[in-house]
Amino acid sequence: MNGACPADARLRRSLAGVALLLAVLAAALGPPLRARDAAVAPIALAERIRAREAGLHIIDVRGDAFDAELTVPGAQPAEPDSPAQWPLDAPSLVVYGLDSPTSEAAWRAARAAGAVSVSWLQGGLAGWVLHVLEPALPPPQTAADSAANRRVAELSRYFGGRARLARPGEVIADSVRDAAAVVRNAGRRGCGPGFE
Amino acid sequence: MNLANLGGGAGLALAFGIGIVFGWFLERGGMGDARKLAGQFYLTDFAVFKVMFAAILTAMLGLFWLSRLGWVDPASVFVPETFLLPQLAGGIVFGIGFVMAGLCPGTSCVAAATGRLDGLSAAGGMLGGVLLFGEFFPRLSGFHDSTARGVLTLPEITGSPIGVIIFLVTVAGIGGFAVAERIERVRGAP
Repeated sequence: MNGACPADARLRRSLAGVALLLAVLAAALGPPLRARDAAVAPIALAERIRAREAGLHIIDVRGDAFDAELTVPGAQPAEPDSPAQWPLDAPSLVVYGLDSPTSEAAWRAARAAGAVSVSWLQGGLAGWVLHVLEPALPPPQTAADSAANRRVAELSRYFGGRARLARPGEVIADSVRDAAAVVRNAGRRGCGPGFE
Repeated sequence: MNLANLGGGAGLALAFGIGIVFGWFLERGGMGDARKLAGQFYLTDFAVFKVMFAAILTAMLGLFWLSRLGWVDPASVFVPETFLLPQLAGGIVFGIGFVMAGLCPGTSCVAAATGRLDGLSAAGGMLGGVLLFGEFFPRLSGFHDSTARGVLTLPEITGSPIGVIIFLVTVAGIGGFAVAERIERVRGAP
């Protein structure tokens, strides 16, 4: 080791310098923020809206498909292709589209445009319909399940929705194949026993 | 490519290939020589420290930046669980064996592959130890599973951001290299 030629010593110093530079950049930039870590569940967002959380800004980036009749309460419409015009400096920004992919894409666009405190609504507007306005509650097995169901049903009523008990064998999915149909048929299903 | 999807035969073949390449690099780095490895304990040759810490820094920075670029999902990397007392005991046994033989498990295989008798002895002792441990495992299993702490990482333990930990480990490694070379110069390493 001590008999190393000057070229070896220079190479070692160069490698150490590269390692140090990468380490400084790692400390400065921090770890990557994964999209799934920035997702907010519909029920969680509903609770934040009901609590009138200060600084919470919600934007609906469905663009031409925006329908003021069916939207997340308090959400403002925003042009999907103009993230620079979104309230990127809001203390807590939540973006959503029709479904998870469009909501996640909006989150990426907001991040790329400089937003720091931004999250996306899991399931998009379809997720809001399925989990807040028309939640299918699993049959309770324990007292804790019953309490959780009551909490969701009460939250659903607060936003004008109606919870129901899931049918036997019904799969309660986090995502849907046809989000547009879910949103289109919102409020028209009414099947299954209600949960009071 | 997801390696978890490889079948048993393909997985073993890949592991064999990686092992051959790993062993070749160890041998070319002089890690099959017990005298060189034992120099670590006599503060005359820090090649082991430098090789191991260089590997740690390379893997740490590589994994961080590959995940930062979105090419690797860090959640898919297996992190072994911590069992405090059993791992402390294992470390002591490992250290005693290392200083006695001048070889660790990997380097003993490298030394054995190049026909060194000390390597063959150390590898044979290691395999004998594995068999003994297996035979006595029912009696040792209580200790083996004791003081479980789950998966521990430095960012979790210290509450520091991972980028800061990476910076500190890198500085410690580079500083360690500089100190090791200075000691080698003073003590007249080969």
